[in-house]
Amino acid sequence: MLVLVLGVSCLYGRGGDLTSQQIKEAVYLDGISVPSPGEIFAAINKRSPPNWAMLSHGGVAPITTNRAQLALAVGLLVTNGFVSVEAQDGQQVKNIGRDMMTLSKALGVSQNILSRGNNLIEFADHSEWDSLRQELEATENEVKTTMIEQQDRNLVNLTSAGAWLRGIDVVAKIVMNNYSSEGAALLDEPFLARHLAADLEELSPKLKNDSLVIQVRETLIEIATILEKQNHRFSEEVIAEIQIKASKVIKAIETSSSTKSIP
Amino acid sequence: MKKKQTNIIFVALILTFIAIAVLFFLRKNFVSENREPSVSPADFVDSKRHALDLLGALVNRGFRVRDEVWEISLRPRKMELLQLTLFAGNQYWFAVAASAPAQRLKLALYDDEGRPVALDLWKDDHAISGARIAGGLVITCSGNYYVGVELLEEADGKTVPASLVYAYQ
Repeated sequence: MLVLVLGVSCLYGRGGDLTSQQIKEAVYLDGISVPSPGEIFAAINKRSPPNWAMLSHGGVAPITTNRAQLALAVGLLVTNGFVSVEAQDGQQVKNIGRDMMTLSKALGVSQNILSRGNNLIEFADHSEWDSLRQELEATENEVKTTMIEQQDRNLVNLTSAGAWLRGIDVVAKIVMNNYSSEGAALLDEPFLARHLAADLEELSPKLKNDSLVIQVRETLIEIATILEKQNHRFSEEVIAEIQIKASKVIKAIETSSSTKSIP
Repeated sequence: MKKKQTNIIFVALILTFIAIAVLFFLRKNFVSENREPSVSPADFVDSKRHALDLLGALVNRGFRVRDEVWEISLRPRKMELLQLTLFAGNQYWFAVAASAPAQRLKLALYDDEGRPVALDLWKDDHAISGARIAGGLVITCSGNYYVGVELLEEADGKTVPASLVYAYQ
């Protein structure tokens, strides 16, 4: 009888635990399940605020007609915007806002976010940093909503992947400069890396086979695999390995010479 | 005479068959309308407003509210779960509101293995038409979590639109 009870409890979880079926059926929503860069930066600031000014850079908005690259670059710019807000660098935020508008126009999704761009400039002029964080997240969501409205749902996944990879790159750099096991644990996101990679697996064949998209997907899988092997404890060497991988693919997104047009 | 009787039985059978078919059709439509009413995006307006109202006071204390809202079609006593990534050191507050006829909600958080994580719960079931609940905590381990919402009591067994928002500091 006891064996039967134990067997049932293993199958269905202990009292109050979720069952494996419930976990499997849990909803994943891009706009909520992927954390805002502001969330992880808030956690970092509580431990030991880094020199955000050293990490702040606008990045280069690539001149390309490759829609996959443009969507990935929008994601990078969103995270760069959050870094500039932490650095309280108003001019950099304005530059990033303008670059986001340029990329959105190239993607054909700018019509709904013109006012967002103006808000970014106005808040930066008045040093309204909390409003800027809110506006950056809202701008990202507005771009994604417009992508969905225009039957470009594929691009949403790329923007999320770009934003997450740049976030990992920034956090890994911060942790490497002032290592602590608690700080390194902030990178414990293998599930998210796998989910973002799986989303890229679902893209249309044209996008999926783009060389840059393949590189991004492979990097996400590699990062997920490295994180999963560590059992929630991450050494400096592991953090450095992750940072190098993220940094390499970010450079490819910013500077890739691919000009292949993807309709 | 015998032929006439056969015809009457035949017509009666056909009429019975038609009546059963009509009853089956009406029952199917009746049940689908009452048990699974469709929830349109407009139905979430009130629940979203009430959920955001709950977090309004926290904004003045330095909390930042996520821009996106989880819109949930809640069925009685069926927990809906959302995956989240939460970071150690951050304080989080989750707020859920459901429109009438919802009367009582459950809010719960689980870690990556599905084990319950204690929330500091705040309930306000009678301040609005419908139900509201909020829960907060300081995260001690970064990682993947599941936030669960369940409709415990409702007026008439219908699907209820609900919204979840969260804030962090």
